[in-house]
Amino acid sequence: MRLGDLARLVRSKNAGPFTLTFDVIFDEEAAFDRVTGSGIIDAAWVARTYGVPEGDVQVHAYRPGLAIKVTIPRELPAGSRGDRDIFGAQQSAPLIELDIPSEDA
Amino acid sequence: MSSVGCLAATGQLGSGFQEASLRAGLSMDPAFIGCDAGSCDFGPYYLGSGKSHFSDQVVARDLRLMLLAARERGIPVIVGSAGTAGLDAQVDHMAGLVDGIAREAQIRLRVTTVHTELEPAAVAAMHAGGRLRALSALGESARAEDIAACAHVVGVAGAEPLMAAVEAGADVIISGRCTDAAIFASVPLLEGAAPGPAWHAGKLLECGTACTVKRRRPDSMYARIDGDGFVVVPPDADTRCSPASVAAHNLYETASPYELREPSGVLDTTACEYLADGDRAVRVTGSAFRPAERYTVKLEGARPAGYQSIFLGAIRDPVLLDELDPWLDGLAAALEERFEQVAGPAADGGWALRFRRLGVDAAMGSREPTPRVPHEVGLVVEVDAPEQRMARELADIAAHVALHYPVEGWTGLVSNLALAYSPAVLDRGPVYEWVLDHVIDPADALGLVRIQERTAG
Repeated sequence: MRLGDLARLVRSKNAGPFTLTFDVIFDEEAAFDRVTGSGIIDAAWVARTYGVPEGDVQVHAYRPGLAIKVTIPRELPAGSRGDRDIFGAQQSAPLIELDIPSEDA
Repeated sequence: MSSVGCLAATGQLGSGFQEASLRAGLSMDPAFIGCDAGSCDFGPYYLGSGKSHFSDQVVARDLRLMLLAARERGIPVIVGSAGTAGLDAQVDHMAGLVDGIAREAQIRLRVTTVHTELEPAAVAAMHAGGRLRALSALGESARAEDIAACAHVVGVAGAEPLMAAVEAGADVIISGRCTDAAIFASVPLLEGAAPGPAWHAGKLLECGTACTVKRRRPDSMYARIDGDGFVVVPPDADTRCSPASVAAHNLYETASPYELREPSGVLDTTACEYLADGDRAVRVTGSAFRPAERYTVKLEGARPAGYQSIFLGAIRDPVLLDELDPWLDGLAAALEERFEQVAGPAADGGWALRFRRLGVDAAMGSREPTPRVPHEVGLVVEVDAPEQRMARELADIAAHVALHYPVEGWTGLVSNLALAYSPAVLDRGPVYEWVLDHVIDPADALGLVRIQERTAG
């Protein structure tokens, strides 16, 4: 199942001009537990997918918000020449399309 | 302290709110009305150019309703990061708007301005003297001359200058760049609220209705801080908060959901509990604030980075789309050759050429996992140059060359772009770049700001 179908919201946004942050927010505790329990969203996956050093990746499981937060450096500071996404608003597609294995697999 | 009510007019001054919502919030006995008026989210242009994101008319609409509502109850209005970037001139301009509103309403207001701009040359000297601390690799790479070349630099103030202004009896406080949460933490801190709940409520309030279950529109938000926590509720009775929506707001535009760094310390929400209080309100307890050993002020700087001209064309020809990448490579080579004839080599002329393929990978570039070529592609061609005239000249050339650049699959003269506008080329004007990602440790919390009182009306 795609992560985007399990979550109520998958989004990306700047956290300041130099940092990009992703939020995966669930409605159900079970879905949050399933994805965090699978360990599929880890620093290595993020580093591979977004082409950043693993050491620069933060992954937070945030139970009070039933959410996973991923934070990475931006490729370019927001709004610099060549930047593609000033708000960092459209960077979450790989997360939305990430396949989450079924629990009994 | 018994409790202190805080009313946010909306998430950003100029984005609007329902007058009825503000009135409903006013009836909940707030100690002040606050509103954030700026952000670095819109990019470096606003700090660099001094332009504002919203027009005077839309800002004055919101400001007038806030000022008159606050006047009724004798409570202060606090506006932070005035004019988008919080430049001194933007603060003074907004103070001018307050003056106009006061005159029209025939009222007199004590206005306190907080200026937070710093001289780029002085900041560069501090950098050279080792007084700035870089927060990132990008910050570490900044050179003193890059900082000196900034059009503007601001220091992001904390709650202390606002507290000083409130204490001095201001009716209206117009602040330059300050942290968003400081706008709302200042009065509760003055009233003796615990810093954890004061800062946490401030972080929620600064975005207006962003922490509601379904944000229908930018609108007012209310919180009441008491002994060990606070209750947050939207004044509009048709809107509600839930424990999940309030907890989720800690995610928004933050690097970590548990920590929010302020000049005077760190808000830590690790131990927070979020409980429903009726159908629409949420009670939050457990917010902690860890005071910092040193007071630190974050710096923001933007420097001019030349000029741009662009054009956008739609490509629909399936034969061309089949060979899109080699066609673009050929076009780039042809343009570079022609640009060199006109303006010299890129390194000497200071020009640059860039393509964006809308529909293929315009949002994610090399990070795009599925770069499919669809049935239509939007091609954006961008030219950078040290002067607008040169950017325009080269972009005009590029539009003409791209329109007729040969397609391998066809024989004869082709026209490759659906251009929607005449003229096809748009001058983007000056562009800017962020320079600083640093903090400075001022001698004290008021060390980098200038506080001035004046009368409006």
